[in-house]
Amino acid sequence: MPTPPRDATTYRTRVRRAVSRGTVTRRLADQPLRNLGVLGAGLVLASTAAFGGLEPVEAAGPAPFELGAQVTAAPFEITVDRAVWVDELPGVYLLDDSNRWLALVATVVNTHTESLGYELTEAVMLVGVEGLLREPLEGTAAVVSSEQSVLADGSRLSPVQPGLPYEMVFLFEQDGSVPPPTEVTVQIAAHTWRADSFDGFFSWLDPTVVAEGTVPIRPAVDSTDGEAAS
Amino acid sequence: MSVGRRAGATLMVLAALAAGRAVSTAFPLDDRLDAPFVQSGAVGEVVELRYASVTAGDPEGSRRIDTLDALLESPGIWLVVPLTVVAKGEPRLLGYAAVRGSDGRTYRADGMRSQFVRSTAQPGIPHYGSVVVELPPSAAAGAQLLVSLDGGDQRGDGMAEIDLGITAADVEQWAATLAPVDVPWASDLAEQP
Repeated sequence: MPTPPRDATTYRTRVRRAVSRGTVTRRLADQPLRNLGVLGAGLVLASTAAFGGLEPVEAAGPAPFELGAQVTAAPFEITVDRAVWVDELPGVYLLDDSNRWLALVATVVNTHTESLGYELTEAVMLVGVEGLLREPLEGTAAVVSSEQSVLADGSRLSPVQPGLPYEMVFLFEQDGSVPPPTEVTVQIAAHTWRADSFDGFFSWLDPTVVAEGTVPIRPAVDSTDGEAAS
Repeated sequence: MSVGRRAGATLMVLAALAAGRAVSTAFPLDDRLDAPFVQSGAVGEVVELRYASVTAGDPEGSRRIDTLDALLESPGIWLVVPLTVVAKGEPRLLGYAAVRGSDGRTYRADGMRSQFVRSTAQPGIPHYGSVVVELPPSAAAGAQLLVSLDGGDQRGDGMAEIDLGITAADVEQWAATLAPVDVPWASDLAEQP
């Protein structure tokens, strides 16, 4: 017995029958899917344009950084007052006596509800300074400080307690064979409070530069008695 | 499988998923599951925990402290709280100490400045240490001392919560005091030479 002919009704024919009640819908159904896709994309663009979707995007980037201006960089408020370099400081030790410290003198307030530590190290960086001993952060040209010390007593600022205005200094060790810079580019980074994707614990993650600027750096008035703040 | 049976099975799976979701979110258990088992007390009282008995002494305060190797000055005030620990069952090195301020913030003693001065306590033998914390004067009156075994995770274990009995008058006096408070070594001796 011969095999009965396969139903020759195509999908498109079935669709055309289903929508045959209107001319417009029939013509739409006649269009290839590629044309319908273009039409859909055009409708989406037109609808977003009504809400400003086609306006030029302003380039997002760090705000200008200035000495003496407070930067809100969660979870800190950071005001860098001046940049100086110094040959030695009491209580902190260079890896080599011929090296020097590049020092950012700042006031820092922890605005979180708990004590903090590593976050402050990641919050202030120098960019493009020749001869810094620490390696730049992976994928960036930014270098974090080697030490963070309290000006009043020279102690390491650890932990950073909430609500206290610490007058402190970020210290970057520079190779003594390299001339001290006359200006440095400073970056201030903010963190985001979110759950770690691995263990679910909330912490301050994803440091992102929120302010950047180049400021002059000068020798401390008297580098022999630790007056880096002078 | 008929279309009807397939649709029914799909509906049952969806219903089971919805029921599971409803049960798991209907009761706010997460905070309670994450919370430590708090044992409250006051200065001078023995607080019994699973792993140790702890007793806080009268706190002292000042703008400055004299640690073993440095004179430290705070932009706020320092609190120095004597703490006696008697371990239970086995030697214990308590890992967590903090002060909860009256502002609701937590001031940990786990660094170079604010620090938990202690060493391993042997079972049954009193061990004398101290908790040293700097905090804003406005947060000190009414502050509580928190002590627990694990430094990184306080969930599901005992935590001492001790009212330090600090008054506004204490804070006012300490904020005007520049004479440093001595921070002693941790020791098994009640009186240090």
